[in-house]
Amino acid sequence: MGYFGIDFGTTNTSAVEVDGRAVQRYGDEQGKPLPSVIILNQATDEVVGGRQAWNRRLELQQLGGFEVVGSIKRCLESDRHWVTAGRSWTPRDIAAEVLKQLSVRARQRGVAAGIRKATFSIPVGLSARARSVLREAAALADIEVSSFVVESTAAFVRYFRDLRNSRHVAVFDWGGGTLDVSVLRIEGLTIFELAKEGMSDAGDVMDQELALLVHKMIMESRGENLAIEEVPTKDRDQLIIRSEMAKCALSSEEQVSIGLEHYAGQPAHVELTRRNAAGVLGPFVDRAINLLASTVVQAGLNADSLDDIIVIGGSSQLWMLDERLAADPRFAGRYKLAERPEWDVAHGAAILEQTPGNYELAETLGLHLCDGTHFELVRRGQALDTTPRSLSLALVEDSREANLIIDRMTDLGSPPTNALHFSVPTLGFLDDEIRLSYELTKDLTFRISAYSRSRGPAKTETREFSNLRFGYHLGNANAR
Amino acid sequence: MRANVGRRSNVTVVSDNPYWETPTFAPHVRGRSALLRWLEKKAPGASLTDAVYRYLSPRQRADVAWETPCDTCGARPEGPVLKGATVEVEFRCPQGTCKASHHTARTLLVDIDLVNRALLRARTDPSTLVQLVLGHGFSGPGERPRGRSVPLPVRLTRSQYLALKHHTDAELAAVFHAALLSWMKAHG
Repeated sequence: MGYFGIDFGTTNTSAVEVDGRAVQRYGDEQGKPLPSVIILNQATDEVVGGRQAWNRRLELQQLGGFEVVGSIKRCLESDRHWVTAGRSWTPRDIAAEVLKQLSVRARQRGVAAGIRKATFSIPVGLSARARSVLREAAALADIEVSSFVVESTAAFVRYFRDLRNSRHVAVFDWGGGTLDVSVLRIEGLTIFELAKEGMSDAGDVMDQELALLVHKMIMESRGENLAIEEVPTKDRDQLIIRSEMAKCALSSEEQVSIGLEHYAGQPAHVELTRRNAAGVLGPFVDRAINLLASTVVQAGLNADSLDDIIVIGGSSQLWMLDERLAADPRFAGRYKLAERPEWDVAHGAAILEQTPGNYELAETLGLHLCDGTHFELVRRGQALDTTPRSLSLALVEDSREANLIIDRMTDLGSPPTNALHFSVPTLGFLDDEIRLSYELTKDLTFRISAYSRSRGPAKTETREFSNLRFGYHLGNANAR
Repeated sequence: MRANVGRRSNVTVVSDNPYWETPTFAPHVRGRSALLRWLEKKAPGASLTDAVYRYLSPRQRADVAWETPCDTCGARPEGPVLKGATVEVEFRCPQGTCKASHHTARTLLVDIDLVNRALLRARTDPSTLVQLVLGHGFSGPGERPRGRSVPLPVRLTRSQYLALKHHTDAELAAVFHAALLSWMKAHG
């Protein structure tokens, strides 16, 4: 059995197995990634997933008696639940069903035990809570999470063999739920994350905005001014799905027809052109390119220092992105579209799975002290050591609160930036002491807790920082 | 709009107990009320003047002076500012009654022979000499003048006045004497 990487996506989920030079991809029956859609039969508790669920989602939703759950990744942390006859389903349960479907697909393709262990790719800044829910969901699907890696960084790992002579590379991964940008430095067989940023302006949000545009076009053609919120939910959902399909089709066609059998009481039909859609999608593309530019700056570089930009993810196939990048002197001629954008992230994660534990922190986190210096909590170059550590702090002024400020420092000489800050109530100067505990977690987050001795551990304040930068050592085997 | 406020850390790492007795903790204490509380623990029963000079840095002494209200208008000074190499307490009167240039007179008992030697070296008048000497920096009261002592009326800046107002005349004379010796040493 080889090594697995799983890209648990908002829209699609995929697994890639790497075994030496052999690469296997596991998704749906058509050789595409598995749609992250789960349909629950409210009467029988039956679960339908994957392509079958995707194909029948509209029909079953309209029929009634089914819960159609899409984009579960967006609500991993939420308290939402879906009720069927025999049970209540949490986001963790739904995510587990998506992963079970994937494991079943691997089993059908000859992986006897299914997927038992994998490195999971996650969006930039996915909260500690969401990581924990994802880990639990994987456990329910009998999959052990070896590690997490940011999606855009995983994508680069996939291309490491081709780009190992580059010095600085940016990865632009624009999917259904998030846009993730990583700026990386390659030093021999090690890649360091210099900066990574993300935003939620991605495919799903664009689909909703496009649906709003189509709604307005329909209302104009009818001479009505019904608000989209007044349209029945089922019609509205169908409109969003058709708009998403139209958005994809516009990547290869100038104009697309959208036909709806029922929309607010009657059939509807509009012709959507690239020009119409550009008014809605243009600002998204601009914000995405701005995020790319700002992440490069945050890495302490300028666009000219980048040797390559890898563009990946479903939303990256938007025709406007290619047009605007090509017209932007900062990025023109420097970017390339991924070969297999829907598989590259899982592929990179699988390569990392081959060399488990070969990563280190690419930044230092320090507690900002009253005299402006920093007390190093975790250090750049440190291997992932999850041993909890603690120290005592004292107030230096007459105050009822201890201000705890954690800064991050990437390179020697670069100014520190704030990672997180919080306050802990105390009895006051000389009357109290603050107990600080901190650790790197197996979910690749930094957890810090503090309480004052007077109030005791029951009043502990805890924060987690989930945007840590790492360096990954890739073995020679991955470089050849 | 740009933010004009920021977060400030108010903690330091401690290990030994009681931490407030350790020499590494003391330099970080700031703010008049905290400094006075710390001095009470560090030197219980000692006079404030002695304790301030014995245990506090110039910056901390300025902190203590900073929060002392003005005798004339009751306002609190703006705070310690760095002027060249020395920390001074900047004073801007909110009521406009006390000018920044306002000086307060005190009488110093000085070693007249030493002062005369210093005047020759500085080639200046007594008033300017006092400012040169106190501007050079002053710490706690040292030995009192041993030679022929005469009373010399001097004008103290607001910063000097706030820092020295708790001293008795004798203590003030000792502070100036120590500062004058230090100035003489520094100027050959």
